[in-house]
Amino acid sequence: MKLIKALSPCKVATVLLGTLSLAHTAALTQVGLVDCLNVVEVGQSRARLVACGDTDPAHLANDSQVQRAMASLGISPSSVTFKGCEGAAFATIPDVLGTRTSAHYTITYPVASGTNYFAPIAHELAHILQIEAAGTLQKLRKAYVSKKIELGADFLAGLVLAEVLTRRGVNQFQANPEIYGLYRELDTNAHGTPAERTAAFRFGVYLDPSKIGSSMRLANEYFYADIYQDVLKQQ
Amino acid sequence: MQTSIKTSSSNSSRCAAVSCFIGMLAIFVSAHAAVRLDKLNACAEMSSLFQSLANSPAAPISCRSPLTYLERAVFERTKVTASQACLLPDAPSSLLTGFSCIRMAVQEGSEITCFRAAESADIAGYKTNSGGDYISLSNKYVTQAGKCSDSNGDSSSAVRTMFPPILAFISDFEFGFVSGLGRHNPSDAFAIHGYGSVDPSLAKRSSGAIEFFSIVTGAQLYKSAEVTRRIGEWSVAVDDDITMDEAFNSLAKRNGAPLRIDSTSFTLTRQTSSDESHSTKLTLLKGIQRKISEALEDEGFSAMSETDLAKKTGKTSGQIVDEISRNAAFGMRRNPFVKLSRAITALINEEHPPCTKNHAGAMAAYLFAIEPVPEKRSDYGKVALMLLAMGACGRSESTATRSYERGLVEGATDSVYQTLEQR
Repeated sequence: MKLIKALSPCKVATVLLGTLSLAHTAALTQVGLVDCLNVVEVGQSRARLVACGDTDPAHLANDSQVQRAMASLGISPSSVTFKGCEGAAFATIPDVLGTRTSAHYTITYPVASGTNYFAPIAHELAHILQIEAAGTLQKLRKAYVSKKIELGADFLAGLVLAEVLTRRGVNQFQANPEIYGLYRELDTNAHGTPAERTAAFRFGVYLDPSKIGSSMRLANEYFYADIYQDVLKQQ
Repeated sequence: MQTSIKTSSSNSSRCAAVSCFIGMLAIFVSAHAAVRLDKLNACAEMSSLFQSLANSPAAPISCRSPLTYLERAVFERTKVTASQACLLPDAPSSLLTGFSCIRMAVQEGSEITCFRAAESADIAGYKTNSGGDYISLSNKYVTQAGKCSDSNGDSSSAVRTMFPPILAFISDFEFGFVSGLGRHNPSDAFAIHGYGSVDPSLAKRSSGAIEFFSIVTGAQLYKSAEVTRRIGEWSVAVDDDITMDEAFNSLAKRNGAPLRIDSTSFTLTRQTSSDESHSTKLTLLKGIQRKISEALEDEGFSAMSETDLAKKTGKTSGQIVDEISRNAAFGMRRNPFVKLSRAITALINEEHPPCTKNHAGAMAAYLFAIEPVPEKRSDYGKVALMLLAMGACGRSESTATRSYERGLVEGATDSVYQTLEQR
């Protein structure tokens, strides 16, 4: 499984999506400028451009686990489009930018054999909850540093996986190369070290439900306020 | 590694032999120039080791003396005895050939921690990914470990809190991997494998790093001894620190020292949607220390000024805190889980209870605080009270003395509650 090594895979993916969409609508005019959140970005080399159709080859939209994850996070299935293509990165892209609230999101993913989708998709769906809780992606980025956002998404993914899978399913996250941490990364796109990502995820898996009731929004807030500093102590 | 070079009268065969030797040497060198991910996924050896420990946790063992520089450093710094930490004469598994292995004395189950010297360049190379695609190698390692028959399927990167405590005295956690063992998840058994950086003060005679491996079976679930009381938004967890007190008091008794401690700590948390600054929280802790101090003074204690403290101990409270921090285990310094506040209050009572009569004994009280973790909303830190009975009071088993001590702790507890109720 190759990881995408890209200057900005989100931007590349969005250029492609935007280019294709432009053929059909006039809405996406900010080609190349769309912001997004992605699972892992490694290195600084440019990605090769790939053709990316407007399809969901892994049928994630109809996947029962993904649907349960969305229900758990309070995300309406109609608000998410999944788009998979070879060479894409796992990324969450709000359709509306800047200061306006988005009602729809696109989650891109790489299509390759052997890919275990559920854990990184749970991470991406968690980003949607984070964006909606903050209001917009711009507000989210202004409120928290990248590492806090990304580890927060790992924490929420832990909550989701604990609800949707059995405990033995935790290795879908822990042994997934798409979600492995890094030791050397830029602050602006930091996701955390392997120990920090594992810790954030497991804090979610083993969270005492009484701390948050059944509210993922409260869980999100609880992570920022109390759990994040404990996660940083694990490296 | 042994190589045999056949001598020959022909130059070509000699060259070939030398080339072979250089090649083998290169392999030997390169085999030791990278992180090795080969323990947790060695399923047969792991199974054999796990089963032998799980089935006979208290098997009779013989211990040897430390021989290597790092072994001696571990035992000198931890001050453990052979009955507490047994250095095994042989590695418990072929997987651990070349490792120094210590069997820890635990109440239930078993725990073996092993280590051997490694190169600090290995750690740097791994972290900068200069040796190759460490992500796929690490994921493969974790996946394979989770598929071993004795694994419970829960394998991952290790976190800092899993680093074997005994190794924290000579090294600091860098990275590692852990696999749960047995049939249950969560399990009472696990194995951890990883690398640590060695204390630079030991660097002269070490290669700068260690590779470590530890296996635990029959681990006891942690049971908190705290009693929690809620006061509005506040929670106060009161811990009478029995384990620590008993350990100190047994040691003092064995050594004939007329000392006895009775410690209590108060951990403060607050369920609130708003953040308070770190300085506000520290002010609260100081306020609680002051309130407890006043209650003790009402019982006849006299607070020692900084000058008095320096006269009696040779150090100011700040210097005492600095010394405690300096003496913390090496692996606990970089990213400490607790930070001792610089505000220590020391009080002494030489007139109450009866054991103080004719200056035969005295009671001292020390108030410490552990600072809250910065930017952790609910954390307001901890205040700890340590009562130290000395002389006749330290030897006293009388009900009067014990009741007096309990009364002081109750008074301190009330002081904490009252401070929070008034806030």
